[in-house]
Amino acid sequence: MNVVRFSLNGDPVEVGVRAGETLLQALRERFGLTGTKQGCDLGDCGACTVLLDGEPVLSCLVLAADAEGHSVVTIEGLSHGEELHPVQKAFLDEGAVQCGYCTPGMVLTATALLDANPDPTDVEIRRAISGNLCRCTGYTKIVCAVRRAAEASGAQGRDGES
Amino acid sequence: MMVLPDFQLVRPSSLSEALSALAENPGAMPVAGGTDLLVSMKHGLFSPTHLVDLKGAPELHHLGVGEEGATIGACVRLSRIKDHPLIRTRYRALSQAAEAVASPPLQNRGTLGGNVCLDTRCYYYNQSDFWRRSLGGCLKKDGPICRAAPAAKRCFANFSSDTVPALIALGARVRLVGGPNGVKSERTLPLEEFFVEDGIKRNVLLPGELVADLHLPPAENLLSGYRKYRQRASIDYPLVSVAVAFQVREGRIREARVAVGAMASSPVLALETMEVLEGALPAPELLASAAELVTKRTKPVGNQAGSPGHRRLMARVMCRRLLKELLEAGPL
Repeated sequence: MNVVRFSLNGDPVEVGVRAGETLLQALRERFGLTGTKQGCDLGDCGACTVLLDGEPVLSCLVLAADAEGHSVVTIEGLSHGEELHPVQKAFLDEGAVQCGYCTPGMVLTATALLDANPDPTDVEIRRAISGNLCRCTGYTKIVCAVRRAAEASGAQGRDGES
Repeated sequence: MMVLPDFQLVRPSSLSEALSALAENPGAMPVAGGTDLLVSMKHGLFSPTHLVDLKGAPELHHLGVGEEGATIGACVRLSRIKDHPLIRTRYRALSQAAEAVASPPLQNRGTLGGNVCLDTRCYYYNQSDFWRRSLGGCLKKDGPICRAAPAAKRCFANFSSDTVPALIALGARVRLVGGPNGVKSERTLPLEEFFVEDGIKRNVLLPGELVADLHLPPAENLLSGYRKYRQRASIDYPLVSVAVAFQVREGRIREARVAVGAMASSPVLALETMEVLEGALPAPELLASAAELVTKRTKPVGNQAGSPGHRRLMARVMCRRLLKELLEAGPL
């Protein structure tokens, strides 16, 4: 067992993990954070996307031990209690969910995109989510939702300034 | 669930500690981003006793671009290379290649050294243990014959790195450190000489030896680009890739270098294309004749999606489009 300390959804955590344990396994099985989905488990599908120091990574290909000293945000860490994150709200409003399995990864990837680039073009949105596969083929509404979230936070930002 | 086999994780905090850990444990393998190795381990292709994590070695994270060229450490992540403003403008082929590796979340973990040392790939090799056992394995793993070319005596697994053709076109040299028995040696060679045309051996790395960094020559007046052909534009390995770099001096093409990936077990320098381009005046007929020769030294086998003939055709198409784009765009 290796003892690993990191920040998980803003809280400091400490956990014993096996050397061959992936971050995905630790999140789901040790912390019960099953919002992070296991899809292919081989780095193709993006269902297991989490934010590591604010950047999307595939938790099925990150050793849990590699989280040491870093910050990890999962889908459970986005909302403030009952209040959804703007990206979550936009996905809901836009109906950008079919089976929902890719949604946590999509939402986290979109969140990281908008943090780095608050006003992305459609091409930039499509490129950013290119590692998150939706097998229901509902990409159109997902792109609309990301644009809607960008517009909503842009409007919020402008209101804040006035 | 794809479970990783048991291993011990070693996390050295310097390059010399990493080299010692590799020398002390003959069954150890180095790991950086893990985006290729961990997948292969889940497939049962590698069962190292130890994984030596190189990310803790600060010597491997250097990224510098200046008048004398560029030096990029083995552990520099692909996303950092893709987004680096000076690499984007001076070494465009490398920035484009880094952006073409897998998908953005994998570029956030994968490293340049890992992509340079990427394992070769084949339909019959990159499969789960369960899948491979039903056929009986192949030359590269646990079997008596090559499943893609059964009459052959060698492995034809495909060279699949995106960054390497770009680096070779840009004239990169690779610095290797360490070696067997913990010998602290160092050698530098042109990147094309690092690879061997053998799907199993792949490169000249000795046991315990590591890629430390890549060095690129100055990029004055350099035009370069990278094109990749793959099944799904978002995440797949290349079926064909072409990188081109040259200068235009007094209206003529100079120091042209063209490298082809994914068409053999190693990257291929398209010497005939380079010869046609060298000293030539840029003209539409020239582009076609230069691109026509780009597959001269390649012999792809049927171990990827798309027939070998289709991949050769697409290599010529990619090369022609890339040359046209570079000559029309001119220097940045």
